[in-house]
Amino acid sequence: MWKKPFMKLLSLVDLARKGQKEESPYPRPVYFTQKELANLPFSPSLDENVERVKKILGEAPDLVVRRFIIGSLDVEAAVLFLEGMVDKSLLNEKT
Amino acid sequence: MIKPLMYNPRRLPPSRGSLLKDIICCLIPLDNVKQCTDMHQLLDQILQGAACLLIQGERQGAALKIVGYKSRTPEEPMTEAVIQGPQEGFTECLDTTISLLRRGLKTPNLALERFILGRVNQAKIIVAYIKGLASPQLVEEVRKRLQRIDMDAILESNYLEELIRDDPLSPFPQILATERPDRVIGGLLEGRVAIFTENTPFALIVPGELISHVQSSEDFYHHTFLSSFIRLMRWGALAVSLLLPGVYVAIVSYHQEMIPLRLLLDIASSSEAVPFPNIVEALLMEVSFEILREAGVRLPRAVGQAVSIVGALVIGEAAVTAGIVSPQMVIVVAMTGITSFISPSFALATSIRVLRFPILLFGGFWGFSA
Repeated sequence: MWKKPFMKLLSLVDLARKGQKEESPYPRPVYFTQKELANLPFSPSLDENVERVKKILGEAPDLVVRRFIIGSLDVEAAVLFLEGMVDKSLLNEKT
Repeated sequence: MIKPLMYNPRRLPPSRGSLLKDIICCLIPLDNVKQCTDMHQLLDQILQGAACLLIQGERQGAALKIVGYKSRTPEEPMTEAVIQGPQEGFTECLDTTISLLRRGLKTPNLALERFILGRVNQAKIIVAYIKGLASPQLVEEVRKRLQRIDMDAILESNYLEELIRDDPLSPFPQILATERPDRVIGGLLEGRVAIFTENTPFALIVPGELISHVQSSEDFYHHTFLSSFIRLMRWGALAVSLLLPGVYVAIVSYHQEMIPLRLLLDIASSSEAVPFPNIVEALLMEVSFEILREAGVRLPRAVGQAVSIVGALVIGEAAVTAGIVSPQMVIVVAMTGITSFISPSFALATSIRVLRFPILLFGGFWGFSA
């Protein structure tokens, strides 16, 4: 006799769980926990590293990536910084 | 920094281990350069305003500290103005704050300890004390209480104050908040510990007992006798600010024998026209004063003047002529209002402002027997 309402309750719980699993129509932003961030290693490839930073910062519009070649070594390099946070004259000039 | 890297034709001397290290040593003419061995460190540095250099084939990056974000220049502190004495206050930028501290306190024994608190926004907190003057137990206690904090973000020093104070439920301030470098330096020299928080000009001084809240840094810049007199007056004024409405209501309602006859007759004749009991009258006035004061803080500066004039007319002149309050009550409320501004510490003034109401209620309901 008591089973019926009990089963009903269980099915309600199931329903609630199903609702949780349902995909939301909006894409979830990529989210990194502190732990995941702490375990991110560098890759030897420059492109790979730059892509990683870009991805973690969520393609931030204020992230500036300046690719260039170190003259005396003929090695590719990149400078990454947030627009407005650094001193541009120091960054560009300063011989 | 990009220019020398691109144009410098200089050959690198024999290698020192890694290519990045060679480049830092020979090609980057900057003072503050940090090597980052993992991504997390690198991101932290970028978010703090560093420019990060990555090189093809290297499993590490270099963070170049060339911070250039906008920050305020030190100005006269708004909450603790003095007539004589230094007119500089801390700013939101922690580096500026620490440099102001260093400038005023030139001792190698000044210890600065860095804490990073907050899960989402990692705020830099700096604990300062003078080695040999601050008691080691106090410093250890501060460390312990700070490390216990687990919060998403620390946005202002009051977040810390509420989390580390001795008695969280007490209405009285137990930590001194100040934006004056000379105040902090004075505190450090007394053996106290200062806590600086990123993004706020307010530093905390612990322990901040009641007496230190009634002292102003200006007291030390005047003649001893003068300052002592002013300090005593301050205590008196604070007592008035806390007790006057409650005591007045108690005397007028229950202990009329304490008032000289002539004054009693005056009070009686003027409160004859007032339809309310004394306690209601006092509450009405106090609440409207507090409302005016709170509104004055939020008002745009251009409208403030108009509102203060209207407020003064409404609570002063008009309320008396309309027979809602007696002129004596206006004097009492005005005195309370003025004396509450005498406290050099805003936190103490606020707690007295709140405590005035329970005392008023006690006085109004039970008189001096309360």
